[in-house]
Amino acid sequence: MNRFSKNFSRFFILLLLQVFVFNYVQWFGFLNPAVYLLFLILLPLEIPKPVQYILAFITGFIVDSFLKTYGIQAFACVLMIFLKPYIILILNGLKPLEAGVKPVPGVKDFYWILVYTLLLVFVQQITVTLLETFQWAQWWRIIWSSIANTFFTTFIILCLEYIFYSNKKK
Amino acid sequence: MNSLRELIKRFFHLFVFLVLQIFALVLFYQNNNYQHFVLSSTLQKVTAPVQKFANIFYKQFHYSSDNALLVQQNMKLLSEKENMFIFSEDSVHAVFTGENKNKRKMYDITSAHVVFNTINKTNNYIIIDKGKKDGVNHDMAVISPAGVVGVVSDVSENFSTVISLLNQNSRISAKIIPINQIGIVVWTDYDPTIAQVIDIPQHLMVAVGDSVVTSGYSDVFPKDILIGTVIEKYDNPNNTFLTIKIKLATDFRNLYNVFLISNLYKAELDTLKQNFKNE
Repeated sequence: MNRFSKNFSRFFILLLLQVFVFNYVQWFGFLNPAVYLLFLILLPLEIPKPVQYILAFITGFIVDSFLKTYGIQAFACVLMIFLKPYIILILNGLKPLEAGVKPVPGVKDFYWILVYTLLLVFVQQITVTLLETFQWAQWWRIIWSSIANTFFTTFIILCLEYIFYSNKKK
Repeated sequence: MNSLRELIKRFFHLFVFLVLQIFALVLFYQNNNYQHFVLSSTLQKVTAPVQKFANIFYKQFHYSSDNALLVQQNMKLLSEKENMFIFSEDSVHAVFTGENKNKRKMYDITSAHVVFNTINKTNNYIIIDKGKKDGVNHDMAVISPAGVVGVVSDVSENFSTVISLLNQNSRISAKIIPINQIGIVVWTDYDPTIAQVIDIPQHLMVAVGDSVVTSGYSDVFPKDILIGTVIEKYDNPNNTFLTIKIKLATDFRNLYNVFLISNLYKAELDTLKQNFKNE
């Protein structure tokens, strides 16, 4: 399987999962995991940046159209994919990743992956919650709900990553 | 010129980024205009069928709570029906003022669930999950949302046995609606969907499709509760009565929610009947 079909099937399966399962998970009124971000997290860095941004926009827009929040998820996704190389740079000690090294389990250790995923998901979640609420009077709710959602989403994303990458290590 | 091209090449991704972000913000801020309407109604054509498909699965989780609410609502509606009261005055004054001082409640209604049910024996019984603790008594009427089910026979602490209509011993006083003739519904065919009305003379005009309801003379069932509809009638050569087969309104193969109806004046009526027998 080449890189394109791999990424495309990931895109398709994760969006289906998001639309059919995780959009219906609305626990306690604020927990709603955004598992489709795994597609953007695993998107190869070698793809030209403009293409990455457009892919992120399309992904966010599809999820938006199911949630009737046109533009919010798309904005947050593009922002996340924009910050992705810089977050990798910071986590890697201000050095760019060596060629061919992917930020996936088996290549990087668990803590690196955990912090990397947490940061990316947090950027996306706080943007979404900020745009959605857009009232400073509710700052406590914005922070609390985006942190809770970040941890919940990261937990599910790491579970999925470790389920599918543990096979490849052997 | 070369350096300009270099510059564009270097910052092209930033340009794409900004354009996409501005586009997303425009989408987000145009809440209430024509473009937004067109966009959302176009996308809805794709998203709505998908969400409808997902809903087929997700609505299964709401059935039990919806069902409990509907049972409550049905109980309320049933208890407000005309046939639950002893006497309602028909005067013009009562109609216009809406107050009816002579209206007295005759029947009380509670709900129960079926825990055990047979339909294929000669004498079928139903067990329900309400007992002496919940105020269930001998000879209370049991109905389903569709029609008559049976009569309570034995009561234990938490459960009660109901003699189902599908029982050789069950005899329910019935009335055929347009001609108002009183008969008795018995179960003789061993078919859980069919019963017979006996004691209807041959000269009466009974048509296929007529409703058979409870008569209200038995002090167990309130009047006008549906038992079934006539599907077949023919003259019996052995006697002077019609043989009328009815299709039962209640689906006994698929029974879960039932209502229990108790007569509030049962003790009083029973003592009267006792005197009557002693004569």
